Amino acid sequence: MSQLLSRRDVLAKYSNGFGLVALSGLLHSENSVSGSTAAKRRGAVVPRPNASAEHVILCYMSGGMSHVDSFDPKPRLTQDANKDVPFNIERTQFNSNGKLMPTHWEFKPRGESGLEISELFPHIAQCADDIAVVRSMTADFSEHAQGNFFMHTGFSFQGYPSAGAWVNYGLGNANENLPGFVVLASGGSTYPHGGVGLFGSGFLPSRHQASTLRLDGDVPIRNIVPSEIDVIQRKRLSFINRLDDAFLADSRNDTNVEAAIKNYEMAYKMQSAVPELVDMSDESAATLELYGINVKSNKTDDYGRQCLMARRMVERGVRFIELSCLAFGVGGGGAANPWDNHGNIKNGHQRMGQQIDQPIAGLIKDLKQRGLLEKTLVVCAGEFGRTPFSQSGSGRDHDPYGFSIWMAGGGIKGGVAYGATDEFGYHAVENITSVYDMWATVLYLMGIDHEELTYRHGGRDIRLTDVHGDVIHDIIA
Amino acid sequence: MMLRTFRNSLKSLFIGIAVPFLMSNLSQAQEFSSDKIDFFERKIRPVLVEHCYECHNSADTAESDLAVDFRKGLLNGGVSGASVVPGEPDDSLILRAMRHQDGMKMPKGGPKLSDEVLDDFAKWISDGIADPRETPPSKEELVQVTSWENIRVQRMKWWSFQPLQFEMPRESIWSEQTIDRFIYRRLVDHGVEPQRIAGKFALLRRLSFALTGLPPSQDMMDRFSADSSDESYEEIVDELMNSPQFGERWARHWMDLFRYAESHGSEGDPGVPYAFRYRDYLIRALNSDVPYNQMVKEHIAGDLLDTPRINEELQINESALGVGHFRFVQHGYSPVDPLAEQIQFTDNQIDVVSKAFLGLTVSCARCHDHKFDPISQKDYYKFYGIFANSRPALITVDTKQKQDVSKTDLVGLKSQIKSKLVESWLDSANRIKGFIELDADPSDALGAKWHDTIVNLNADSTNTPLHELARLRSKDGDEFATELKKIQEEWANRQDQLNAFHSQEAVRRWDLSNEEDYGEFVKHGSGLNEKPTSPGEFVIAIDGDSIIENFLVGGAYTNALSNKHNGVIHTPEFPVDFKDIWIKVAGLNEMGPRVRFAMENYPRFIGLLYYQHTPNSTEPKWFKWDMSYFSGNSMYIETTTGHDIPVEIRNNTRSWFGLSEVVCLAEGQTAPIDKPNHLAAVCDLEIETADDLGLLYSQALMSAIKSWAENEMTDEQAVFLSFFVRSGLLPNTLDQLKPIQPLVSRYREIEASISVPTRSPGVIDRDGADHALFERGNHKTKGPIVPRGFLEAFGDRQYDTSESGRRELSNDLVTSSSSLLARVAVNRMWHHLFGSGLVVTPDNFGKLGRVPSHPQLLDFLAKQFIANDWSQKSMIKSIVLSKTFQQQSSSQHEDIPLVDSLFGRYPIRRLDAESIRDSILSSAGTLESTVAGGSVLESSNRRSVYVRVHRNNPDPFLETFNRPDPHSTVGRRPTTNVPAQSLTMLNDSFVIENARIFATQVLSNAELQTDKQRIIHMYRRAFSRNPTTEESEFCLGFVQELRTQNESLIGSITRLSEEIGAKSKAVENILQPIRNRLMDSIDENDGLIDVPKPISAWDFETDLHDQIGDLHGTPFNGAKLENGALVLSAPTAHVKTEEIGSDLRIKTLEAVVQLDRLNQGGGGVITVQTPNGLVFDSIVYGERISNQWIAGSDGFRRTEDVEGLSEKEAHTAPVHMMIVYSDDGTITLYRNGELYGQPYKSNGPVEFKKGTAQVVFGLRHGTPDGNKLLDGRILDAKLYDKALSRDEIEAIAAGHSGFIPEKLVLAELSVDDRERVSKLRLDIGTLSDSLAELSEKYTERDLDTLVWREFAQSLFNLKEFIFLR
Repeated sequence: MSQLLSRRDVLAKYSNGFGLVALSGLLHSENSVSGSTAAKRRGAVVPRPNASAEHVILCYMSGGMSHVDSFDPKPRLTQDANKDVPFNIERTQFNSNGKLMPTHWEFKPRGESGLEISELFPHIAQCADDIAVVRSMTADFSEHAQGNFFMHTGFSFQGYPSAGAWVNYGLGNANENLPGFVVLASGGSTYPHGGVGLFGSGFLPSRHQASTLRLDGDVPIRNIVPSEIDVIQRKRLSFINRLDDAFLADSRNDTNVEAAIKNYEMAYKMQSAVPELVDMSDESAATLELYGINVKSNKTDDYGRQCLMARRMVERGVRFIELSCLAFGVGGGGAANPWDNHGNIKNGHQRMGQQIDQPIAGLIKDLKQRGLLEKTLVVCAGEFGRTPFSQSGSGRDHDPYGFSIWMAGGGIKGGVAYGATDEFGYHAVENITSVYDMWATVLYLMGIDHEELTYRHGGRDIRLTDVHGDVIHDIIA
Repeated sequence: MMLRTFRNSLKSLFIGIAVPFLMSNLSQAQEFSSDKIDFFERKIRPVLVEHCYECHNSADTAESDLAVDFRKGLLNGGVSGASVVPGEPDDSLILRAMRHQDGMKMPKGGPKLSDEVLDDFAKWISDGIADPRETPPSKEELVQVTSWENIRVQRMKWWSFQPLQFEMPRESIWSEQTIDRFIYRRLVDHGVEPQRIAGKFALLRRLSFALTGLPPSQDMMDRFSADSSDESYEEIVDELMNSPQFGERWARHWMDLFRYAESHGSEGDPGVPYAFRYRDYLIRALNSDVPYNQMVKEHIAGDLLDTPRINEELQINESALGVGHFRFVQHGYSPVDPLAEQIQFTDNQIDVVSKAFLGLTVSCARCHDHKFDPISQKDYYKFYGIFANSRPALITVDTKQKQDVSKTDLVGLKSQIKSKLVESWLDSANRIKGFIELDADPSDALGAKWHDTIVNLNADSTNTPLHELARLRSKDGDEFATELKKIQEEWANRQDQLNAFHSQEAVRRWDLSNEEDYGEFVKHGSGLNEKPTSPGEFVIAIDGDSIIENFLVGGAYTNALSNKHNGVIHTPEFPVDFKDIWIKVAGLNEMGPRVRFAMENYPRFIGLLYYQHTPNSTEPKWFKWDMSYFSGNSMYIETTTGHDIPVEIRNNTRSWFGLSEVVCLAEGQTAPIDKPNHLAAVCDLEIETADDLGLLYSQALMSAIKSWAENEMTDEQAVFLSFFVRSGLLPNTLDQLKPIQPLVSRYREIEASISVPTRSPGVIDRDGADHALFERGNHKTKGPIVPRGFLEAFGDRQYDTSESGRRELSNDLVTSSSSLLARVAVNRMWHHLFGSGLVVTPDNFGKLGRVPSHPQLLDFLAKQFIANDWSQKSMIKSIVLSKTFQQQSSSQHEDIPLVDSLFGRYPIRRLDAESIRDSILSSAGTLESTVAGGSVLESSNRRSVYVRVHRNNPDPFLETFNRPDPHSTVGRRPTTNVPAQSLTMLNDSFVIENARIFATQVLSNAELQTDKQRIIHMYRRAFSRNPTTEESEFCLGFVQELRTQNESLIGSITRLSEEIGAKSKAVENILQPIRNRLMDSIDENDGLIDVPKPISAWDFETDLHDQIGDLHGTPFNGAKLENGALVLSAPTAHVKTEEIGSDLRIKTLEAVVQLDRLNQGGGGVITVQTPNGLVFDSIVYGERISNQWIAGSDGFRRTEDVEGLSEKEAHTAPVHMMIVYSDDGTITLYRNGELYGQPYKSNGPVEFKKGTAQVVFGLRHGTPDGNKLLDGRILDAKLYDKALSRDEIEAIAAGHSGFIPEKLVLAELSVDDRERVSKLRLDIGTLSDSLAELSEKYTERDLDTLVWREFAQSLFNLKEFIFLR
């Protein structure tokens, strides 16, 4: 039991005020990880030696962000504003299709590259030269839950591993005291439609599934707050350990029993590692300002804290972090799908844009100034885009046939737009890409051949990219 | 895509490998000895054909330019050079790839071929590559050898497709039992000694968990340990297997196989109504040892069995419940491509059924023939046809007898009532003529009713039979003739339109009053008969004074006898090759009948694409849907009574519908209209004067009544007559018709005794149809039609049936594939008893699965299983009676994995999620034994098998310990080891609460007087054994330690409280005199600002009285007064007042409050609320944003974040809070007299009505739970019915109303005093932080409870608690 130090001791002894960086480093030494965790940390694949990205931050735009209002300029919509739709309309989710609808936000060339981004995202626009927009993304589903599952897992229903789980399975986790796949939540954010299964590990070992970390409230992770004071908990753990040791000896050092015993040590450490992680009091005022934290008037505070937390997690080795948008309830987008502006997209998208713009831009700038951007891939994507024609005059319906996602950092070539939709922005027509291609590219940047990252389940070798996927080399630096 | 993948990987594996390239004897034909050729033919060629030819052949472009279908091709090799080097197996690329060397893996995507095959290749290469294939095969030859037929024959050689075969092993000295002899033989082969029998306690615990999922009872432990007879073990086995808990345990294994779920997932996660009935069915079936083959049949076609199992007690068809699993599929939300949706869920059904029963992955053959097993793509579509012909539905599972109970009696009574009514009505109808003609004073009650009705008629009442009377009665002469003509023309026009509608060639048309059309519909439920309802069928009112509720017209009605009867009716399936569908239907909205369309079997109505229609009319009315959006898809129309929709749970116990017509019309075709209910509808209007109308009505009614009597009524007559009866224009009350009373009473009595139908998730067969194969799995390219039937591997029987084919499939499964079925089943039982199967991949007996460790034992067990009539209990019993099962867990052998693979000990394994949760409850003594019924929440004390399974919201406790996501078959649960498990056992409130109850039970148990006795007792409960002496001693020491620690802890809490109290008092001693002084001085300056008077005020000095109004408070849950403050520190302490005496809309809330600690959230200081708390306004701390104040309101309706400063002081000094609710909706917060954050506009202040609202302190609203409670003290509170201005508030805060702001007081202090106060407050802050942490964790302050709770929880945390050995 002697190796079980008090949380305070651990922090005092190893963190030296540097928080978890030092702590996590120490905990990787063989002394502090159990025999079985050494195997756990080893990933299923050996990454390509020159892989650029080590971490992924997925800014998920749940509900479907409009591409023609953000990253895919379509002057034709302005020219032909309010005219009848001159093309065939696919089956839409609401079957209430109106006229061509121009954007409410002006597009401008940005940065040295001249990449066009609309006024919906003035801060992100400042990072244009770091961003590669894929304007020809396609998905197979026009419905939120299936779209969400598809975007996260490559399949449209529950039961398959989320991309974050795949990445952790492939590369292993770099911090034993924190989960390798974390979904951040704050304010009124909730899981997108489809629920917690979107972040599941499917048939992969369940240690790869996401942990949800709430940035407000008393309990950031379920059961992480000790139920008793430390001195008593340590007494109990020592009692448990003594009797467990006897049980272990009696069971001839059964590996599963041993692993379960070691597991308590890790749980004990997590009880202090997590509060340490979520305590942002060591961040400077300038940093907080960069992310729009404490700037209540712009509604950037909640999402800003998620973005800052994402950076803190990258620093601590967390592989895959997903951020959750909050709802403003304008134009139909509820907490589960806040971008879903079937009506009044002008107000709805404006509020949503405001929420994430400065925080995400802050994140990119902060990662860059700390030298973390080159190994951190920031991905911004929703389950689909929105139709170039209106729904009920002021909103837009779902459009999975051609929409935009973007990536930055982690080996991405900045300031480029790849692929194109037709002149109205309805269908992808040039260099058509799929969700599979997106993940193939993400995995490639992490040094993984997406065809090699497989797991045998139900009689098949299953991949994140199913039987598809081509790396989009044109957006890689 | 597969091809490309293949090529890439092959490229990569051939690059960079240097191979000697031998050209020398390439061109020379070689002579090989016949035995070498024979070897090639037997051992090599078949492997090449089966595994290599598909990609590496000469006819197509060979992968990597390598063809292995003739000798030279092999020698020449491909892009990487020769693939074989004669005489050099280790240098031959082909063998290296087959051995998975150098990262090369062939055959691609499959398992490594067996060692025998690899050895054969090595030998063949060493021996010089004897190969008679001098030339490449022709394309035809290639097609022939690589034909599916050939490949299937090869693949059928796989072990699991062979007949059962075994030799009885010789006797062993170890055990007489056959199972043991099989096991022993292999142990001996490997030089492993079996273990001796485990100790009694360990054995009992093992048995109990394996058979019931629970630890043994104390009583059983006593009996078993006391009984040393040879039979005692078997007796305990029987006792456990006969307990109801056996079924609960083993049902959960089945639920894993059939991905049991109570919701469909996706957006909205809608419920699967009555899913639990399938779970309860399993429990009953397993407890009563229903033969396995019977259960298999029931799972596939239980609803169709000729002789189903009847549950006499519940009067239900047990067998029909078996098909429930088909419904545990996931469903998308409002899919725009419904066929893709159908493929998703049908594929899942195929996957689950084939894996669960046959251990085969049939769903792998959706896009192409199976890659490894003898399952063709056609096989897949045979199953697809069967399952897609089974429509998702909520089915009624009551026996026919129960469904028809009392029907004959009711029919008889109706007939008697009818004849009496006819008699009475003919008489009345005859008199009607007089009522109308005379238009004079009524002679009797009926006449009076007519008189009133006629007087009140107006020309607008168009759609009743009195229409003509209304329009014509006051007219005469030309006027009469003109109006009559008009009526006749209108009528003719309507007739024309109806004629046009009827005479046109509709795309599709069903008239449900027509027997033939009715016969085409799929019908289900107790309310629908073999034949359609005839016009004139009538409904007896089940209560009230009226007798007849309504007359029905021809069609499909469910309520002829009772609206408790239910109905589900489907059209045949038809393509969307039309524009509008018109449906004529009756029903009442409040009873929830539904019409919906099922597009490609999609069972939901949802969103804006999948419409539903609720009729709301007693007579059938038309409505239409434009279906052009779904053009090209296939659909059917489903009409159901309210409770019978397939998805989402309803509660309409009484409901009915009447469906009369369904018509599909193309663009431009004539739409139908609702035929008005006029006199003209039932007779010719050949009359001259208004006076003739009386005769006409009389005649029309007489004629309708006579037709009714003779069962020849028309729809028009039924509707016509119905009106007069319903409006009381014909006698229809019990009062009017006294002689009928007894009949009606009897009818109602019987009707009341009819029970509500028992519903269960299921499927309903439609007219059988074969399904087309989808080329490469793409549903947009349909291939040839595949006749439904059974797998080629088991005889390839075709099903020529007008049903779905499930009936035939269920028979084939238990006959044609019985060997495999039995193998899979016994292996599953073995797996659950040992934690590992004889085949360790219980869901895959195909090539990608593992071969059995004990093939002969497996086959022996399978044979036994069949011989014992597929009795699962017998099989389980024979396994647990074996010595193999009873071995102890410890083994001294050094190779434990080997020992485990040979079953040379009983393996140690972690309990599954349900057993962990159940044994916490069981140990704590809280486990409830209630069985069956709807599912419960995690917090329930029932067994985990009853805890709900919602896809989007999995139970966190059970999920943490690997209860599987309901996605597909899980025969072998993964057992992971994640920190969340330890964190759950350490900190989860469920564990802690049960530990607490465990502790209180032990403490209150009079038989347990000493700590030692308690420890022994708890050990027995938690681990099913007595502690050793050392353990007891160790535990005693630990308990003592806990006692010391907790004593000091409770001491700290008391000390901290006291210190805080003392320091607060010291602060007050300094401040109070100053405050008093300031107060006095302000009083002297009174009148500076005229502050509005509150309507209520509480100073909490001596009581909870309202000093101004009548809102006196009552304390709850430990709210108390102390030093002039209301103390709300107890966990759920709060105060509620009387109800307000006048309406309150514009208002201001005021309170002076000090918090116990800053890190709390959601508590209300002062609240105005409706008594149930649903509507409220409140001063709330830290709810949406930590440490900030908000104006809390119901559902945040009037709440916005004002973004005020974070609270930093309220735990050390009181703060003064006010919230103003202005007339225009503006809400403004003030803290210590200063504006707090930004005012904002709400949509107006909410109005609380006098007598329906109260004031609450310390509780945000409603019931005292969750985060609604405030921990702190309120010094002063006021309520105003005005919106106070900023000046007024500043004035109040400046002390004009009794509160002196801190800064004023502090300003008056001497420097020393200020420092002292400041220091004291700093201390108070620190102390209260510590106190807060302790108070939060230790709400329990009773030392003994605390100590034993911690001890109990420690026992739960021991690995012995969650590991079974």
